[in-house]
Amino acid sequence: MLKIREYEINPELSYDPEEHFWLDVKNGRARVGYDALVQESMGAFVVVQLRDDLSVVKRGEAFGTIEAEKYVGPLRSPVSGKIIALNEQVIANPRLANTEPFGNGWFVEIKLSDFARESASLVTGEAAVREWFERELEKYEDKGWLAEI
Amino acid sequence: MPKDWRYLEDAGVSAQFGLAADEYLMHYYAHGSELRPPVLRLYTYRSHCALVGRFQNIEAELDLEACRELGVQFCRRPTGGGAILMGAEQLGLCFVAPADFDAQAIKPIEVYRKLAAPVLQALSELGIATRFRPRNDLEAGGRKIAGLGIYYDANGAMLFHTSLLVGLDISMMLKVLKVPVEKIADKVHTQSVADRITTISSELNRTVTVTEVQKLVKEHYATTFGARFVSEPWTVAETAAIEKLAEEKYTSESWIFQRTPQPDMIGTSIIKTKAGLLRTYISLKGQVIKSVLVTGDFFDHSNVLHQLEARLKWGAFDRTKIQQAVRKTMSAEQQCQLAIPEADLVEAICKAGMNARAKNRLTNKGSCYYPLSKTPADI
Repeated sequence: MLKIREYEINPELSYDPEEHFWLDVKNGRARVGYDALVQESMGAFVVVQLRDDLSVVKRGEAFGTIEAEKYVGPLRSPVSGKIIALNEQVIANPRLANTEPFGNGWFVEIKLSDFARESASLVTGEAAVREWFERELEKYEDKGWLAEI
Repeated sequence: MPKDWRYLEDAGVSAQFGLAADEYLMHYYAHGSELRPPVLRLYTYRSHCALVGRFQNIEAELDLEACRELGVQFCRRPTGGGAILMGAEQLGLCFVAPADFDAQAIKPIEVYRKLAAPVLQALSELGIATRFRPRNDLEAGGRKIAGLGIYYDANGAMLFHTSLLVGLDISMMLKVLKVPVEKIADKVHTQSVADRITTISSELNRTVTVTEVQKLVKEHYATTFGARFVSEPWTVAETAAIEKLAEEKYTSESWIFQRTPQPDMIGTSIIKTKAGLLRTYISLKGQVIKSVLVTGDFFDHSNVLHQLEARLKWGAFDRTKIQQAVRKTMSAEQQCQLAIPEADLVEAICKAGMNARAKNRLTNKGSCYYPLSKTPADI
């Protein structure tokens, strides 16, 4: 784990720079969860509702809906593919996404269908992840996205 | 040149129509649609409509029997947060735009700041000093005067909603909404709610009309965003589409009565402090605090407690987080010398939550949803 100020980030994973999902890609499958920075900007997760079928999702489409302290909104898939697993633990206990973002707080597993193309928009590799995350952290702080309203 | 934005007004709409109309507006902003300027809709519901938040369990929030007896319509909002009572004296504000309508306001926290600012200005012009209160309220003199919510749909549209209390029938509210102070005597009950909520009319000591407030909110939105509002009422086709959505979604039992896996739990605690007895009432949804009320018969600084209650709302039921919230509230309200030690407050809140969990464990034994591995001592 890399520690950048008070945030931990796993440098071995890939990251969706738009939505701040991490992706653990192995054997053509990706496990997907939120990184620690975005979950802090959203506050405590109250409800995680995931699609109740193992269906096909395109990049940018919602695979679920989330209610956090500050809003209700979609969980937009960072990659295309077939959803092959839903994390029942995070559905039962959405706080896991806050307390164990890189562990039991994952949302779905997706069998990737277009990863060769879509991986270009992800951030991968320790140096790139560090640089991206530091830049994001600065942006979040500058804009006051981590503060209370 | 001012930008032309669409403006809509409705009065006395049904719960189903009101909610469907908000959602209907969002479809104009789906990805790939023709670019459109935002829409501002100011409206009232018929008296009365009880609306629960997106993922609340409606039976846990509303007395549905009382709703039916009193002719109060009930439904589920797309936005999050807690149950509210709407009617002729509560102004609904709906602002719909593409989620990225403002490059600066792409996070909820920034959207709240920007879109609630004209409401704060309108209240200020009326002579009421208000401010944001974390998480999603506007407050006047430490009491809630408006609730805010944001909903992003999956297609790229954003709905910002405000319910602004011009007036409020508290006794009706208490008949319909379940609040976690049911064990207190009726009179104290009403007072404890009245201590936490205010209205424009009561702040100004006169009867203020919704129309007066509506006009000011509209003006301040126009000024803040440099927009010129063009009044475009619903077309016949739009009305038909909204009615269809209302019928298909907002009257359907699968929408109204949908349940979430997180159990709703209510608990209380009474602890003795050097200032007197401290009674705490808490309502949890899973591991999140839905609401908390701290009461006692000795408070001179109840506003501080209201700040604390608001800060805890929709936050994690977690001892460290509760300690942080207590500390933060006390340091933010430096003028206050609250007689209750911080540690006692933390203990009272944690104990109430643990009691709520323990009660739920007894009544929901065997539920596949309840995280049995967690014990009350885990917080």
